[in-house]
Amino acid sequence: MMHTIKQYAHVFWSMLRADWIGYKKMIIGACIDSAIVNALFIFSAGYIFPSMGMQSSYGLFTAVTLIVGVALFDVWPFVAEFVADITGSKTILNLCTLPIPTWLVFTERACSFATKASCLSITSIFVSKLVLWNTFSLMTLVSLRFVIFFICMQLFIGFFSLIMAALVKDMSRIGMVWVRIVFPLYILGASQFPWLALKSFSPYVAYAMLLNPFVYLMEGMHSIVLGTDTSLPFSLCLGMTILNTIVCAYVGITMLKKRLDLP
Amino acid sequence: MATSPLISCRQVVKTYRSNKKSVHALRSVSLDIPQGCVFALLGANGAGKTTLSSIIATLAKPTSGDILYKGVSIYHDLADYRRHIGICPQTTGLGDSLTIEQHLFYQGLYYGLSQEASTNRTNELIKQFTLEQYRASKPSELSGGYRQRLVIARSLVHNPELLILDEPTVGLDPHARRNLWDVIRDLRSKGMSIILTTHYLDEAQELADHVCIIDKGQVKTIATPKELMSLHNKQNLEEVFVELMNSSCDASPSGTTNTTKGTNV
Repeated sequence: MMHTIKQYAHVFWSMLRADWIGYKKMIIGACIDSAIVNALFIFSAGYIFPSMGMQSSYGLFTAVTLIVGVALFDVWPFVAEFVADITGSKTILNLCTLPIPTWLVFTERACSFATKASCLSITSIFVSKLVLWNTFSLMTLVSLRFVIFFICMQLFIGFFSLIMAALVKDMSRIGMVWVRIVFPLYILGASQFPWLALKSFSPYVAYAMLLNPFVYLMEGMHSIVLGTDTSLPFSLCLGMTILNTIVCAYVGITMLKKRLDLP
Repeated sequence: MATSPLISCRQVVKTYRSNKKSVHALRSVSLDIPQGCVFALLGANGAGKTTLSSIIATLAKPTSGDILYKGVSIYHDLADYRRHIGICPQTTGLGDSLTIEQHLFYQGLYYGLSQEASTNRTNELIKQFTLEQYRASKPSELSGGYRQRLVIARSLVHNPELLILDEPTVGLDPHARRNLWDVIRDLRSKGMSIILTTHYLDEAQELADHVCIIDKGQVKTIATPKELMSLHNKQNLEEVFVELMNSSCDASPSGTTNTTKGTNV
């Protein structure tokens, strides 16, 4: 048993390494692109919006949102690349014949998405610090619960991306899935306002939004940095994120196996 | 004395369902593939040969039936079965993020080789398949023939017992094709079992020890090329194939006849 696990781990690690060879050449450019976009968002939310009457802490709120948002937005090119592969050159099929269970091939893919996205999330943290400076303390992120939640969040996004990839029938429909599914979940998922603000506006919508997994990602991150007064409890966010990750992993892998007709 | 088969297909059925349409790609296919030979799967386009080789390669799931490897169902432990097979699919499936050397090196790691062992095996294969000058090139920079060589080399990294080649010479010029034939002959002489899916009859005649003709998802005949030619009194496999296809059209337009004329392997 231990021998088999060791063998699988070896293959898994080698696949991740091979995956990163291509990405290493792109990572600096991707980080620069991401930093520019983040800096503009955070600058607007932190300095321009308050001059229009918004709370001064909105910059910090946006910065925290972007730790999650960047991972979600920047994983999309990899999802597109994956869809192009399963509908075109099918390099994935070589991986599906390796001596590991098929579900592990897709798990590796999700982890690959997660590790790539986390590089950009980390970049966004440093950009937030540079733009907001005194209003954003990096010390709030130096905690075990941040590390655990950050890993869970990235894994959730990795597995959620598998479902999105399985839903996209061909490259021409990739925008449709993004606009019709991901974007509404993101906007209503406490990314622009806290869940409690939505509850005071419309309790029914707010309770319905508890079915939206992004709510727990955003609220969990907000509770770590901004405190729990305006957010859902951290333990609830962490628990739901873990549960949603497991559900996404199961659904995503099943859908992809069915789509590629793999045993 | 007959050796036990390496692969046995037992009543394999494959039906593709889309919307309200069902396509029966394989209709209860049963056959045995012996060890150490080149076993060619022949058939017209859409006959089901690629579907069958994909199922054996674990790249497709049968609707029903079973595949046995040395008498044990491959679905009992897929990962272990995959250790024993090498696959060259119809689409080469080579990403451009890795060089030729890296493709082979990582394939070695995937099959559990250490870094050193994988480096040595990579060098060995690069030499064997005369890919030395392309070592640092990307697959897209190679010609079709060399790309195919790379795919075969990649599938041999772990010294598999069974190699599954799906239309390996499609789109290759005659020279590159002949070179690949030499590679296949060489592998067979080393004792490797090979499943060769092709619709080039001359290729099957040249390379195969056994030929299985599939038509409309059913095994029509399994025999050695010599047996088939003498049985049908023809000079080459192409004529045999045409005759069999014509008889199939005359006898059963719906393709439900299952005539096994040759000697079962």
